Amino acid sequence: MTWFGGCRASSARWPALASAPPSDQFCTSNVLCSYYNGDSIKHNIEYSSAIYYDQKTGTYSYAPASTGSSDKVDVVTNVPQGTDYAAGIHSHGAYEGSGNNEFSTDDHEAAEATGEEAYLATPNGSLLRYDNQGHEEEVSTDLPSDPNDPDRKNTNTPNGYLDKACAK
Amino acid sequence: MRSCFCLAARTRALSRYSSPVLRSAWRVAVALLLGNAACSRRETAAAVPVIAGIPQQSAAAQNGGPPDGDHELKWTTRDIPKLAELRQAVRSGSRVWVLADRLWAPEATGMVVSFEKGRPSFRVQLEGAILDLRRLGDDVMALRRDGSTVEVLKMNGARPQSLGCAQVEENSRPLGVISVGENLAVLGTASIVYIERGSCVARATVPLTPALKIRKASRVVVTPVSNGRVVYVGTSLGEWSEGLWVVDTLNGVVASLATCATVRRCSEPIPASADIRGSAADTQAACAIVAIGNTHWFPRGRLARACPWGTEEVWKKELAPWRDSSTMPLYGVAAGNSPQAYTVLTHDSLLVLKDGRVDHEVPLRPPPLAGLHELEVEGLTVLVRAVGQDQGKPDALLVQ
Repeated sequence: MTWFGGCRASSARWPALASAPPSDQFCTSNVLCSYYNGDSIKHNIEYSSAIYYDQKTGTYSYAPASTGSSDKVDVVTNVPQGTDYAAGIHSHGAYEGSGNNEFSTDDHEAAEATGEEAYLATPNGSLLRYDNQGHEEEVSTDLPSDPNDPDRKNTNTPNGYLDKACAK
Repeated sequence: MRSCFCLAARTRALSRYSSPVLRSAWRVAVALLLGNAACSRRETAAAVPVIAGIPQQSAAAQNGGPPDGDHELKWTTRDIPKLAELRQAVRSGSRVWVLADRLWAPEATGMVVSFEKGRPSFRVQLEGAILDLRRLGDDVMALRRDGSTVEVLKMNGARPQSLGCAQVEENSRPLGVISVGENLAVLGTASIVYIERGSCVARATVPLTPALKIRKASRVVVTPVSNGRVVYVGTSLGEWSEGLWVVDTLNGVVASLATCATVRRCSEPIPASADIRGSAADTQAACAIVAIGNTHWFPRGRLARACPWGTEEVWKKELAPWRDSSTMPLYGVAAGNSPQAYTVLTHDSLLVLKDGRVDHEVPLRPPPLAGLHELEVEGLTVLVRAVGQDQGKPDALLVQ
């Protein structure tokens, strides 16, 4: 099993976690979603991963993503030994209505149940964060986005998306 | 006029029925107005598939081997692509009809393939989309849509027989074919269209009040009870599921049985976010038994009873917790012949419940062959796929 390396890039937009350097969690989320959201849109399936914190290296990283279907995905919990689970993250597949660009009631419920933060990569290319206390924020708008989404935040068409369209 | 069964009145007065006395009065009134115990007995019989009376040993011998543990393998096929999602299956005699999504043309959902042990399978070729497959009495019916036309078909071979058709309004998505008494009807999100047999002109149209608001991508579970007088409509769309409604087909009045968003935020057994995976007529008149199962983030599921006057939890199983109280997702249910007796489908077994407890469990062990397998288990028919496992998408289906 391989693990994606963490990143240390800083972002002033991201609030600090109490026990970890600020912004790295966001950085990791954004890297992860830049990597997976395109495939999630292309194949219209949800991806899920866990962001974890490695106290030895002081970095965040994420577990290999699991895949679900167009409307659900299992949470990933198997972070490496000696690391701390920091947040859950998943994507919402392709645009099937404006609801896909928001956390679902289920998402809110899961975050509130676990008491942990949740990130969401949406079809319009935004990365959202829910703090499990009723507050959401848009933390990035530069992820791959679905050309079919009328609320698209950017023009980052997923790699291979046009190939898929031509194959139809 | 059975006005006291009117769901509008029920909705207005629901709060008054919270006391046990009034709930009991409601049940008595429903039982009297619906007809009778005979009616509920018919529902019970319809909910439990009747298996052709082949003794297990002789049937196994026909298969060329002994029964596979606790269940019997009837047939195996590769006629349904492994990526196609199984949606519904019904049986008539020894023949099983399967409705699966056509993944190569997702805008036109539904293909029907028919199987029978010892006979060639065949695919029903039709224009348009097949939206629903249902056993009504002894017949298997399909609902076909082609543009704005809906047609009810009797499946009696590779060439189905048309029983009638009608036009549907653009704003009413057809959900299922139902029989209301002796009448065939198409339930849509905005209306009930009664079919004139042998004609393409609707005999009557009853608008739904309010109309059902269901996402286009939602799969629906339509469960008529009480001879079609009451219909339950559940939605299954994973994290986007939208709950459960009850429709009074006499006047088109719709009431939501899921009035709160999530289980965590209230104690309602069927919240609006419940993913309804299966349902059947309950032994209790006018009620349905509902299987709920979702695996978004963490597994959740339960068995609940839905009645026009409210809902109640029947059974659930706590799973080893992972930072939360997860429960076992359920993917199908059949009502038994006695009250409080149900068989539920999990991702890998059938659980036989009696009086709110698991009486016994039968693991589903398909042969180690790719394809779709028909198993007879505990007097029920189950379709199981040996490959193609996908998270949240069970590869087993209870045949109705």
